[in-house]
This record gives sequence, C-alpha cells and structure tokens, in this order.
Amino acid sequence: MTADHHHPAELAPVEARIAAIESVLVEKGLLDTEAVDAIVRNFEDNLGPMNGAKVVARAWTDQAYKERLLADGTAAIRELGFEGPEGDYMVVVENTPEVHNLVVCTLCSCYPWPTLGLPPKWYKAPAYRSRAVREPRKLLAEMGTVIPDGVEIRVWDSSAEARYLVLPMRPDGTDQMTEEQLAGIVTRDSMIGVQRL
Amino acid sequence: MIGSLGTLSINGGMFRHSIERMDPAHYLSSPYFEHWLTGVTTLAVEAGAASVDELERRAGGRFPLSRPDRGLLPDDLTPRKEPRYAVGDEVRVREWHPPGHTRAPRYVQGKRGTIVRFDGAHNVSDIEAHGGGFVTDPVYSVRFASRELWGEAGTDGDVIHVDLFERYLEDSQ
Amino acid sequence: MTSGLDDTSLPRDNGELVFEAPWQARALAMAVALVEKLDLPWDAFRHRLMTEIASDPQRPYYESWCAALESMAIDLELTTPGALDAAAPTEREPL
Repeated sequence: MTADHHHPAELAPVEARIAAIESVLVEKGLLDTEAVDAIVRNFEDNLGPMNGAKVVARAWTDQAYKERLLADGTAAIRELGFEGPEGDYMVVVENTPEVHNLVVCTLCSCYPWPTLGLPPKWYKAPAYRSRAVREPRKLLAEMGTVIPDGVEIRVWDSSAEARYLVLPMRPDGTDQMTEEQLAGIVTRDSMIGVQRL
Repeated sequence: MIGSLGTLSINGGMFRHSIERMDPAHYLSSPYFEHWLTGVTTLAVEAGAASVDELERRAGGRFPLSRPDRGLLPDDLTPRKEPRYAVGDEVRVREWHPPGHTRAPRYVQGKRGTIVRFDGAHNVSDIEAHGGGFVTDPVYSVRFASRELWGEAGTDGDVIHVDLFERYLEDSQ
Repeated sequence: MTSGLDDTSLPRDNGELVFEAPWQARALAMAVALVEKLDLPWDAFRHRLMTEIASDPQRPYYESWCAALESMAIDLELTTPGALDAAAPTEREPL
C-alpha cells in the first residue's frame, strides 16, 4: 500500500472500513443495499426537528393534548404520526418559570430520532456529554442561554430506554399565531434544552 | 419475541479455522485488529482451541494476549419484572466496577438518589453482551442532587436524572 | 473533475447538513438495517457503541460507530477480519 502520497481519491481508513462492511454483508445477503438507501432517505427526508416542533405547537394550543403528552409521551407523539426506532419510549419534560430541562446521553449519543432526527455534532462530543451533568448552568451560559438563579435545572441522562424531549415555554407575544406558525418558531435546540425561545 | 444477541461461541474448530485463514503479515498491519483480536484469541487459548506457540508461529512473532479476565458476569442473573422500588424511595447506586462496560455511568456510582419514575422491565444489555443471555430487570429514573454528585462544585437546587437498572441499586439508609 | 461531494449536494435540515459525509450515512443506516434484519433490539448495537466510546473517549464519534459495527459483524460470525480486509476499497468511486 503506497503510504505517504495524499491522493484526492484515497479514502480515509474509516471510510474504507465502512465500505468493506457493506460490501461483505451485502454479498452474504445480510444487508440489502436498497434497504440501506431507504433508511438514509428516511433520515434525510422524514426525520428531523420539524416533527418535534409540531408536537410542541400542538401542546401549546391544545391543553388536553399537552396533558396526554406529559402523561404518555410515546402515545401522544404517535398520534401525530411520529414513531419508530429511538422513539419507542418517549418522556416529555416541560419547562416552566421554575424549572428548566436539559437532555444529554453521557454514554453515547442517544437522541429521539422520530421527533428530532439526528443529533448535532456538539451533542455527541465528549465536552457536552460530560459538562451537561457536571456544570449545566455554565455550559448553557456559554451556549448563549442564561438560566436565572432561582430556576431549577433538571438534567436527563438517557442511559437506558427512555428518550427525552423538552417542551419549551411558549414565548410571549405569540397569542395570535396559528399552530402552523408556532411550529415554525420551535427550534431543535429548544427541544434539547440548550436554548430558550 | 426479540432474539438475544448471539454469544461469542468459542468453538475450537471454528476458531482454529479462522486463524488458519489469516495471512500473518497482512493482519498484523490491518486496522481491524485492535482490542478484538487480543480478547478473542485469549478466550481461544483459554478454551484450548489454540496454543500460544501456534499463534506466535503463525504471526511470525510475539502474539500478546490479554490478562486473565475473570468474573465478566455478575453472580445474579435472575430475570426480574416486578419492581422492588416505588416512586419516592431513596436508593444508592452500588459501587460496582465490573470488567466490561455497564450502563451505570461512573459519576453516579456510590451516590444516593430518589426514584422518580418506573419504566418497566428491560433487557440488561451488559449481561447479554458478556454472553449471559437475555435477562430483564426493572428500570428507574433516579434523581440525584447536584451537590450529592459533585460536592462543592455542584449547584444547590439543580438535579440530574439517570435511568438505571434495578440491579445497579441498593437500599439507602 | 472534482473529487468528493461538495456541500450543495448533501441533504440539509434547517440549514444544517443531516450527514457530514455520505459514508456516515451508510454507517448509520447499516447499523439500523442490520439489527432489523437480524431481529435484534437496537440496544444490541447501542451497547457496543457505548463500549467502544468508553474504550477510547477522544476517538471521533463515527470511528467508534465503525468499530461497533465491525465488532458486531465479527462477533455474530457474519464475517471475519480477513474478509473485511479483502473487501476494503482503496479509492473512492468516481461520481
């Protein structure tokens, strides 16, 4: 193997290893390229925070839905058509004037795919994963979110089956907005808990 | 019914065959042979499927094995469904550092917390990963005070929740 | 001829790339497809991922993912390290 020439067509080792796994498993009939393609497309097209935003907007405008959402997140989220891997056990945690919630997975990067899609790079990084449980207040401030002293911070470490979604507080001045417009102002970061709307 | 992860079957004949198929010069420089090879070949040697001499002959040199790894599985493999604890109970996370990875994050080991939610019984994946099969255990969300976890470096009033298997917990006085 | 994909051809999600590179998408989708095909819980892969991350916390995330996928394929006797070595490409396919 030629060592030191950096050739633009050369693959990074990890890229080559991934290609090798796919090639071997497809050849053995254990993976179907079309099935893999379909999963990629599903992530690109169907899964993402626009789904979670709809859940939040519904909760803001429909009190009965909100109560169902907080009692059984999985079922209420499924009502809107969002379900699937990494969404089988959803717990929705509500921000209030007294409580601010923050979600992390210290052991890897567990994240509710059906409602939020794939996690951002910073969520998977060692710094976020260790600091979210150790010094959430300082971390949030560095990310631009200052939580006042009297407000309790609740951190949720997704170390087992539950996947968490933060229900942010509805911002002031949005009384005239339709549910669809409300969904448009809900950000991914507010549903992880690193941002307040 | 969800099938359990296949245990790594150290079948002597199979393993010997896979070693014979390796080209030593090639595999020693391969990116695949990290912790895996050492661990698996150690098991093979212990199972009598291969000898150190043979491995070294085929490798054309030293073939380092891992140190003896005893006690991968906890003693208690009883599957459980019914929860021992209720919401509001005070518990302590056991101080437990078994070889191999567990789902009890280090930062809560030995710490006291309160049960806030019961999530039903689930498969204990670290048992399964070490060949113990499909064992269920109740799972709880446990709330820890920031001060409990971090002492002076913690913040009064802030709390951290971790989802833990029952077998990681013990009663707290 | 440009090698590699430029940013405009990768999918976006609210202005951010869903996948940083096509091979990451493959790695993710393969893990999902494989556990489905083998009728395993997602947790079976996830636990390996956690183990890999714990063994080398500063390693880039997707390298840990790759290691987890390899260890699963090898432990389940779906393939061998030799076969993976033989199948590894040395060049990216032209677009």
